[in-house]
Amino acid sequence: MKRRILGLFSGMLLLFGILAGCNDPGSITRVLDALGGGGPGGGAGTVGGYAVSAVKSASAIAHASEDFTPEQEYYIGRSVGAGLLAKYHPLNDPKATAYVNEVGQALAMFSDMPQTYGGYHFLIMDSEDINAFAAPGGLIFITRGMLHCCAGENALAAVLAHEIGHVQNKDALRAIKRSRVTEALGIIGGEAVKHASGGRLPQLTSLFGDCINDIMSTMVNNGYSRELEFQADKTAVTILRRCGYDPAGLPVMLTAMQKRLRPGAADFAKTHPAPADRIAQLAGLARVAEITEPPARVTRFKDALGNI
Amino acid sequence: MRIAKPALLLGLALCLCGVLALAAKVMNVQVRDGQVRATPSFLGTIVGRAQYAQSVSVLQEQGDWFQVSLPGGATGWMHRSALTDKKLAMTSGSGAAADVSGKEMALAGKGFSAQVEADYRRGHAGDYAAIDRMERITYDPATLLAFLAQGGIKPQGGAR
Repeated sequence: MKRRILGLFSGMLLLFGILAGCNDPGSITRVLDALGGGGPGGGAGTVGGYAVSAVKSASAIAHASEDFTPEQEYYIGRSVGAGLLAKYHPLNDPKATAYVNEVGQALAMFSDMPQTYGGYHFLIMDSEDINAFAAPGGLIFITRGMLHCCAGENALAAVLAHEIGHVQNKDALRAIKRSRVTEALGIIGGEAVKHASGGRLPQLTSLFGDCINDIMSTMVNNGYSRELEFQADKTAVTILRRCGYDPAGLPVMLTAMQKRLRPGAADFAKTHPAPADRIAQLAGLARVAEITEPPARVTRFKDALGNI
Repeated sequence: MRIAKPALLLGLALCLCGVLALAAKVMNVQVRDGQVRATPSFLGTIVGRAQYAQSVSVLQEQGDWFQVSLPGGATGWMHRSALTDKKLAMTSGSGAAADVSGKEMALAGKGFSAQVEADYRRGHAGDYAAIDRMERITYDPATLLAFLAQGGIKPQGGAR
């Protein structure tokens, strides 16, 4: 009888474990690990080995936007940013940089993802090209050329909110080929089970480089899909509204950008849908309208960005 | 051997209690600096800090905020975006390794980590010094809300 009660008890525990663990592939590993590692001697080799193959097959249908941990997203973002800065140099203007960070970090607080592993940080690139980039994890880059499309703080907020939208929607991670994620999880998971130390570093570094290249070629050369761009615009409108900026800032900025873009240039003209298309798509959410900003806001915008 | 029915029912009830207690929600910190605040607001005083990958028990939810209890016994509020229900591998330098198993430690730093970045940097051009400077520019929420107010911007909702 004691055995039956004990059996019933452990059965309930197991059932609970399964019920609790069915939302994500990682939890399969945890349940299996818990079972395998519980007794003396561990059994981690056999059960753990199975756990990894379970994760591998699950990862075949999963993707980088879910599978890389926030910390890995952060390291990918740093190297994407560092790579962008090999092409575009940072503008050395502490006042302008501080101001763009104040506007950007205030907006990020009102996104659906106000906190990321390393936080949101903004940098001005010293270039007349019209461009802006959002690296994974919250590093956001904007050129002087793009700032010139902004008539005021509200328009600047619209540009930054669009980039925060790309971070929140994890669009850069979507540019990573699926096979890389499967391979990475294989290396990471495999190593954990074998308790091996170090030996896989060159493989991981090479894979890391491939991920950076996937993102860079999408971000700099090919652009995201129109769908992802419109989604980032919609997210931007939500963020602008919540924060208290006029969402009309987005179509107003796009109108100014339309006038400045040079057809065929290797910047926003190449990687984004035409501003007119974006304005049309936004019509239900935000329309071009006159934006009146109070004197204090007009003054601080001019003080910070008037001479760049 | 026979056990009286009431005793069996009591035993089952106790089992069920155990299972329910186990069901208390545990989440993991997914940001480097997990700020724990006195009140469910970005303006709440910071009463503690949880490290990346550390587990916390959720006591209650209020909008986008979770009241959590830290392993040391401290309680406070963390924003939804700082937490995940996924288990995270410990970073090599996080120092939060006190209560993790050998297996979790083996995962530490085995993904794309500072070590992988250092190895990658040896073969690739990139201005990492500028990225480090960029990451140092951080404003606290109270300063940012004051900045918005100074510009006549009135937040309409969202994370506060």
